Amino acid sequence: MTTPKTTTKQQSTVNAVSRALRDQYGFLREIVAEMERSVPYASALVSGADGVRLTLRDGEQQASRREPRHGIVLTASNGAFIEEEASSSTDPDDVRRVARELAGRAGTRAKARANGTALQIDPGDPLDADFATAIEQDPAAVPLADKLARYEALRQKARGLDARIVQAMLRYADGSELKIFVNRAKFVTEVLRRVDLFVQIIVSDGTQRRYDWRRIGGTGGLELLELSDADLEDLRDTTVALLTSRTVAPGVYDVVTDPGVTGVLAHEAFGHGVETDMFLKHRARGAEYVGKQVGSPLVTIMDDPTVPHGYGSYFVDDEGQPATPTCIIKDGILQRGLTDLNSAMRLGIPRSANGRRESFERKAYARMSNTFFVLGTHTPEQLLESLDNGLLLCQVSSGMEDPKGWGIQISTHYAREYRGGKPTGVIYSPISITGYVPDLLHDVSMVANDFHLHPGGCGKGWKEYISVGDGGPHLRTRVRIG
Amino acid sequence: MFDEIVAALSRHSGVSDWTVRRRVSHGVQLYAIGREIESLRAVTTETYDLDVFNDHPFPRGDAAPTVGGLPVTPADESGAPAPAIARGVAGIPLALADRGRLQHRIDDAVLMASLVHNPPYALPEPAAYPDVPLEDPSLSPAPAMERAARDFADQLWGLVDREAGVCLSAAELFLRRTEIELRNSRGIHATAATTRVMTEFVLLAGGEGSEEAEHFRQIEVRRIGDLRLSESVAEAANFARDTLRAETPKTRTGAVVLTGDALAPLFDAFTFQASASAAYNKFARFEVGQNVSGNRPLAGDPLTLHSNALRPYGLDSHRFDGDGVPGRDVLLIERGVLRARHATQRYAQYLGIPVTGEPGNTEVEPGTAALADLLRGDGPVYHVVGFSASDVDPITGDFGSEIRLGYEITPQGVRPIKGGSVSGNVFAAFADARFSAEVLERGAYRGPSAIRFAALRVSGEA
Repeated sequence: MTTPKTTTKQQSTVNAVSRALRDQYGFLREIVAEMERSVPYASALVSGADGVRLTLRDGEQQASRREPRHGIVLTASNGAFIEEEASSSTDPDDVRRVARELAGRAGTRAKARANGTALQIDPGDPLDADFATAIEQDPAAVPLADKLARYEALRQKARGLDARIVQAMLRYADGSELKIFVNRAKFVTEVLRRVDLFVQIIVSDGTQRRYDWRRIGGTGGLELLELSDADLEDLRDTTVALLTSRTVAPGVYDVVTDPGVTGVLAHEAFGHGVETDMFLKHRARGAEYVGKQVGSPLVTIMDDPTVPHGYGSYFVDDEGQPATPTCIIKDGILQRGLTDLNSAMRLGIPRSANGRRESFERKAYARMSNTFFVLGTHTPEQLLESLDNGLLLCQVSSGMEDPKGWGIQISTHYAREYRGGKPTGVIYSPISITGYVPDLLHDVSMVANDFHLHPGGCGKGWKEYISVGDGGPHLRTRVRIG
Repeated sequence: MFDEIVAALSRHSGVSDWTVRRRVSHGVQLYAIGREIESLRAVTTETYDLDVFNDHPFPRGDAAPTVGGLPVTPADESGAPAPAIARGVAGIPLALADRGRLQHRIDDAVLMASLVHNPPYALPEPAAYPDVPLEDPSLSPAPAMERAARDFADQLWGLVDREAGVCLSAAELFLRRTEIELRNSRGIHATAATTRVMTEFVLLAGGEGSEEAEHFRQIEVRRIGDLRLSESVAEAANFARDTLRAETPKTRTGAVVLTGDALAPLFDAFTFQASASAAYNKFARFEVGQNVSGNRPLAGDPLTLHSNALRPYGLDSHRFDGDGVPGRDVLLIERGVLRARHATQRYAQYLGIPVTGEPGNTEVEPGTAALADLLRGDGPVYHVVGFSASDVDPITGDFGSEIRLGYEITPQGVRPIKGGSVSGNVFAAFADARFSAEVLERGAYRGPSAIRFAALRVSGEA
């Protein structure tokens, strides 16, 4: 297996924020101990967020603070199921009162499941640690006026690149997410720093409007948000080219996927499909295929929350499990799933660090972090030169999973036509990819040696939105396009 | 805390205007796997959202004041002199934990607002608010919610038991009651109580051997009774059983009928294009008085679409919007022609058009044809009841979505289909569309239960 330079642990930095969190929330140890006098397992998670968002476009500027989502969730297992109380108040007296009520209520419920067994929750190995994202250029240290000036200048540069541009929009966001997890074995603080930059231009030829965008970001500081003049010119070129885009004829095509499309393919095909809460619900066909061949031997897919600067990176999941990489598919063989605490416990399988919540207000599910295809040996150029009559699929716009039926839907903004290994200049937009996941993975015939991880958002069905990263190298495969 | 926030804003010399929204919420969430409760949660939150305004001169040195590169001109673009004063606004959410640092947070908001320069606009003044029912009284007081959640689970298990060949994979129920209070510096003080009920459930249909198929159903309403659980479970069970034997459709361009969950998202592109913000930000593709399908001749039923915030218990109904503008019923598109834009307080003033507030429920006038007639045809008709994800580009109108379940209807019979995709352009497609006389009310949509498009591309097997 060839792995990208992405599997080393993020550097952690204990700082003043971590110390302040320990001072403020040290009382949670007592709360958990008190609750466990009534129930077999208890834990507490405090989460909060802060940061700045800017939206800049012709005729309008917006500035706002991020939604704080500051609060606490207390968890108690009564032996039969997991019960939780979440509140936006983290005042110690309020938390003690809520903990007493929850433990009292949970302690009086059924102590076992319908099958007579009681849930046994392992609190995990002892861990007393503080983690923080290492950053070079701290967004909080840059005055807002300077950020506005910097990003308005960038926007103006994009806006002025072509007379057909009728609007240029830029969105900037920085954020600091705080987390404190406590159970009887653990007291962990985590400070994640995440930045995000989105630039979109809209062009018009008088009869139609077309647009394209660039989005960059990750866990880290402003050093991650560099868009070069060449990046902006490339954005202009693709957007203008979309004015002459054609509608693709439905059919099955040989394709090369750009790393963004590759990433969403990994995410939708064998990311959601191996979230083990879906195994419990009998909603994932992958449950029957662990240890079996599900794709070409060229296919290796990882989920890794420890990727430095990955948009979906973290140090510990929302249920206290330290982050480690998980190999989902190795050489085409399905290895294992991604777990949250509940599904790992009920299925009797080792935990991975994938128990994540949208916020303290929501339940933890098995969720992805950074999901990607591992790189291969060819250059991206070799993949494109191999396309005798095919498409380069670019700029993913959305994807949808179907773990039970193993169907897949991915939309990309456009595709470039290749004939005889050369671009013809013809561009098709939009592109809808559908297919049967095993066919698509078995048809992977070349994997490139480049690697890009993209920032993204992920829902579970239609809700529970979290930050994730998707990516990998260019891939060559075969798909149905509509 | 509300009074402390208002007092701090009122005495701050850098605050030109303000709006504060408080939301106090209590909810219960129930999660079931099969016939077991997996988790039971209670969630109580109190949050505040502030819009803090700061009026200030345009930055010194600007020969001609601009915002984002454009000269600042009055909303009607009449050529009148540019205003010397810019208005900045900062959106600041506050949590209970911010109580001890209120002054710091407001100082920060004032600083943010002083750095963004927008054309001025006025906040709404006090007005009479419509009495729109938005609350299910059976969900309060708080203990009633857990009882309602458990009753729901019992009812769902019972209904699924009645269905042959299916079982419950999993279900989630979210019950939430929220009290909203809004005040602004112009004297508005408005309140509303709302409830929201959301459920997801998944039915599994088993076939021969290990073959299984699922149907996922999500429903969101204001009142628990509006879930119409019996009807929903019966329909979902049929869909799960049909998915089990569904096949990939043939590639073709032809008549496609969309119903149910496949239908409502198509109208989001029209609602977006009809917004004042889309016009102001140059996303809009048609002007008031123009045909929403461009210059294509109308061959089917003309589209008439309202944005109605006043429908009792409508999911997007509201007494007032986030600025404090009263909810109303607005005719946006009449017989295929854009008649008005829905416009928030800000964009209405920027464009010099009437304020309508944030959009409400999407209401579409039904047609005259019976669903059964729409499903008939000489050639095959594809009837799609669900997409994997509805993916409509609101700027271009292009869409392409995988068929989660549909039916191929021919004179020889009806065959379930899944996989493949339906694609086209929504603005072009509505130039030749026929609406059913039957009406569907689901979520924030009320309108024809089916629409037949004359020619959409279906990509499947050759």
